[in-house]
Amino acid sequence: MDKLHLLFDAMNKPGSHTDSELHTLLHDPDLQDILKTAGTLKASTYKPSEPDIDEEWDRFRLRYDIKKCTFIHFMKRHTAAAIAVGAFSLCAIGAAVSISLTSERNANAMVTAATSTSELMDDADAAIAAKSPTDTVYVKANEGETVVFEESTLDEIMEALSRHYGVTVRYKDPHKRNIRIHFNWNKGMTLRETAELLNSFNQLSIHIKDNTIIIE
Amino acid sequence: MKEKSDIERLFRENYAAMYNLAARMLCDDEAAKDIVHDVFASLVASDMAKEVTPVYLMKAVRNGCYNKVRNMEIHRRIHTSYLADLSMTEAEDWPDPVVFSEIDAIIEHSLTEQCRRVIRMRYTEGRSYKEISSILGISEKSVYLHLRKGLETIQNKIKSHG
Repeated sequence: MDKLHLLFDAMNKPGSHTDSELHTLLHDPDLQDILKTAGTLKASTYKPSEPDIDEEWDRFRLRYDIKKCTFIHFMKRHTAAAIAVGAFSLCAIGAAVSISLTSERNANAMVTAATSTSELMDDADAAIAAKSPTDTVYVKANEGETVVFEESTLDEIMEALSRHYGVTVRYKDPHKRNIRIHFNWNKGMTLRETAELLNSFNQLSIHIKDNTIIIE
Repeated sequence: MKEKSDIERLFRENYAAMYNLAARMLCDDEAAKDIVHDVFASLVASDMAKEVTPVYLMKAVRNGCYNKVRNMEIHRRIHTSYLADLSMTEAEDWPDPVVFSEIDAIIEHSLTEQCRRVIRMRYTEGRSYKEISSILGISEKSVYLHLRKGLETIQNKIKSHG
C-alpha cells in the first residue's frame, strides 16, 4: 500500500491505525499537498449558517457580562476585602454572595477546563516529542514583521518577547512553561496587544505589571 | 477605560468575518461561535477594545482555531480532514470565495460523473467510504480511487491556475 493509499485509508478508518502512524502521515512532506487540498475542499464545501449578529451579541452579553467579568476579576484578587466590604450592608452581602457563587462556578469550570487541557497537552506533547526534531522556536520570519512560532513552548515564546520588549517573565505556575502553541507574533504590536492575543488561548492567563510579564 | 459600546461596536463590525473564518476552519458552527466569543471575552477583561484592529481579531480567531484543532485527538483530526497547515489560512483573503468557486467549478466540469458523486458524498455530505460504496454499488477500493483521482485533479487545476 503506497503512502497516499495509506492516507486515504486513515481518513476512512482512523481507528485502524496507531497514533504514531497517523502523526507520521499528517507530517509526511510528500502528503502535504494532498492534505491541503483535502482541507481546502472540506472548507470550501462547508456552508456555515448565516449568523444572527443581534442574537449572538445578546448571547455574548449574557455569557460574558462585561460588568460581571470585571467584578469577578476583582473578586479573584481581593476576595477577603470584598467579603469584609460585603458585611457592611445586607444589599452588599447579597451582591457579594451572588458574585462569589458565580465566581466559584467559573473557577470550577476553569479547573475542569484546565484538567482536560492538560490531559490533551500531555498527549500532544508526547506525540510531538515522538514526531520530529524540527519543532524549534520558530520556523520563519515573514515578509513583514511577523514571526511564526509553530508548536513552540510558551517558554520559547516568552524568551523572544522578553528580548524584544526588554521585560522580565515570571511564571506563577512553572508547568505553563511547557505548553505548546502555534502563535503568530507581529513584532509591530505593543506588548499589551501581544499579551492580549496570547490571552485568547484558553489555557493562558497573562498580565503585565511593572515591566514584567506574569503568567498565571 | 473601556466602554461597553466599544466592545459592542467591535462585535457588530467584525463578528460576521470572524465567524466565517472560524466556521470554515473548524467546519462547525457552534465551535466557531465559541471561538469568536472567547476572543471578545479576552477583550472584555482588558482595556484594549479601543485599540484592536480587525487584523488583530482575525489573527486571534485563526490562532484559537488552530490550537483547538491541534489539541483534538488525532483520529478526529485526520478523519475530518481539518486544514493540516495553518499557513494556508494566513492570507488576509482566506477564506477566499474566488478559490472556493473555482474548486466548485472544477468539481462540476473537470471530474467524471461518478468521481463528482463520490467527492460530493464524501466532502459535502460527510459519508463514509462504506456508505458511498453501498449507495453507488461500487467497491470501497473504487471509492478510494475516485477520491484520489478527484483530489489530484483539483490539486493540479488549482496549481495550474496559480
